[in-house]
Amino acid sequence: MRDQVDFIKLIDAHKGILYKVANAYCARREERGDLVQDIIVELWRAYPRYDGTRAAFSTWMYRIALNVAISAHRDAGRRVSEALSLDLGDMDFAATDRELASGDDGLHALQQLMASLDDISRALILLYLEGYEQDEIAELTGLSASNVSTRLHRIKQRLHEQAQNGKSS
Amino acid sequence: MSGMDLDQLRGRWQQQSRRIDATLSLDIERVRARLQMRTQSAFQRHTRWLLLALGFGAATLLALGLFTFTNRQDVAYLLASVPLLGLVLAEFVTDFRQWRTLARLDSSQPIIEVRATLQALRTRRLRMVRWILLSCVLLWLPALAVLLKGLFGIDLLRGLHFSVILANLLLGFACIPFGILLMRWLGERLSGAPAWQRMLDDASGSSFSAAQNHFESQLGFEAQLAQSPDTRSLLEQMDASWPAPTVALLRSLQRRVLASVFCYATLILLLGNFNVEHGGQPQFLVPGLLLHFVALAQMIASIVDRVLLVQIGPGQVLDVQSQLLTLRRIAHWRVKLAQITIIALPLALLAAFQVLPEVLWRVDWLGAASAQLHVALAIVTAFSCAGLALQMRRRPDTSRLLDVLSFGVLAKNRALRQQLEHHLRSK
Repeated sequence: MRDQVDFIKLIDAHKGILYKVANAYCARREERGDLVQDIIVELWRAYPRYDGTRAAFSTWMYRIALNVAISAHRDAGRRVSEALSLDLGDMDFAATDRELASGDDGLHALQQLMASLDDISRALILLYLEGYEQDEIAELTGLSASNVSTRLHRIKQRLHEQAQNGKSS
Repeated sequence: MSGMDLDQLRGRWQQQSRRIDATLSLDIERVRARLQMRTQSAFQRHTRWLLLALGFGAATLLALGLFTFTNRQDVAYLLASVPLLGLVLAEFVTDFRQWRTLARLDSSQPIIEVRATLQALRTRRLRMVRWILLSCVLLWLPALAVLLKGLFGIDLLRGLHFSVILANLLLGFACIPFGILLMRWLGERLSGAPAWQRMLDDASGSSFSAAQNHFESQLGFEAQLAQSPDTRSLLEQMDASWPAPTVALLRSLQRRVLASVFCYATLILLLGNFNVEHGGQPQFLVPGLLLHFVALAQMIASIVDRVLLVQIGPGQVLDVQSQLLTLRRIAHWRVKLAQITIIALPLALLAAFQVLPEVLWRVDWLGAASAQLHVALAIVTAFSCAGLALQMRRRPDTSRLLDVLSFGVLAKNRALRQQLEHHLRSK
């Protein structure tokens, strides 16, 4: 039986995951805000089933966050607006966006590449960049280790080709 | 372009991530709002299904009632249809009571009371399902007989041997106490099992269960917030203090609403007096009554706003997020009323042009006008109303006119919400 831990504190300690996943799947700031809130709500609903002995909170959080993000990304065209939607104004992603914009060319190119990838590949590369090894990524995403390895290899190749095209132009 | 190796970028990405982490802040209020919104939407979806069920139930009741009346001389079919009618009526009443309770559910009530209400609705629904299950063995044959007789004229009861009908009746009656015992035993043995809970969720209505689950999530989250000392103190700070301009704006809104109540009340009294004086004179009574109803609708809206605004303010029981929701709800219905008023404006203006000359100069200009002018006015008014209705569909947010029709309440409401949202973000 896991200890009762303050959910809010855990989320707060790992809030970076929320925003990185949202940034990987949403181009528009207001969509990012919505996705972050959706992820938190799903985390809360799944929290009673979280077993701290089987996976770290960050790993569990990534799994749920990516599932929500991928579902939202796929359903974006079919989404029905909520009745009496709240217009609470934009979340303050301005500071985050400034930090992202101040990154070097390599990171900008990486962001562009991520935006062009399919849902699953985005999840793979995000986890890889966050320091997860291939076997951990496989377990997190439910893909086979060889599938993860193949996909990451292809992404690396695309990045290399993008760099080559950039040099020649 | 250098540094495009993914493994090299990994390190730089992680450095950037650490810098980004330092800029982020978690907005609990938006999570609460999102949970509230999900609960509301889930209940709205369930209500739509309920209305569908009520429609179907009403049609079934009508059909069964007609059948019972038509076959009232035939004892066999009377005995077959009356219990069915009772069961369908009980089901209809259960659905209706659930729909009515959910329609009146006040989200600003204490959460524990709302939870108890939802649980009572679920219990009532499960009880109804239980009785349907218990009586299905008894009533399947009468239901089939009534259906065949009603739809195709086939007399099943007379086609079957009496022993078959008797055996079915005896078995059906025997199944009832047996079924009660079985359900009690299953309930005791399986009460914690997920499969049993899923079955109960399906029996109480999957859309209702989904809505109730959303509500429980919201309740649990609120409880979590209440336990967490950091978030509790932050929320208390946010709720207890409002900036002075925001408080001033709230007071101004409250005064404006009160003023609109008095203005419309005065108009209603004057129009009431006019209508009494012109009883028996339809050329004045009809426009007078029309204007009376318009003023009455506006006054009722203002009274409702006044009552709801009592919950708004620093140090109230409702937290700021719920107060924002209330303000938005007030604005939503005010906009709807103003849009209807805009559509009816040509008619109201025509009525006013008939009433005012009579009040001021005792002139009945419509009575003096020709029939062709009456027809022309009717056509122009009808087309204008239709045109405005179309305009409202295309551009529902014609802010200035809506503000004027709401006595300026909408503009102040909007300004107050903006200030409150700014206040929330700055905390």
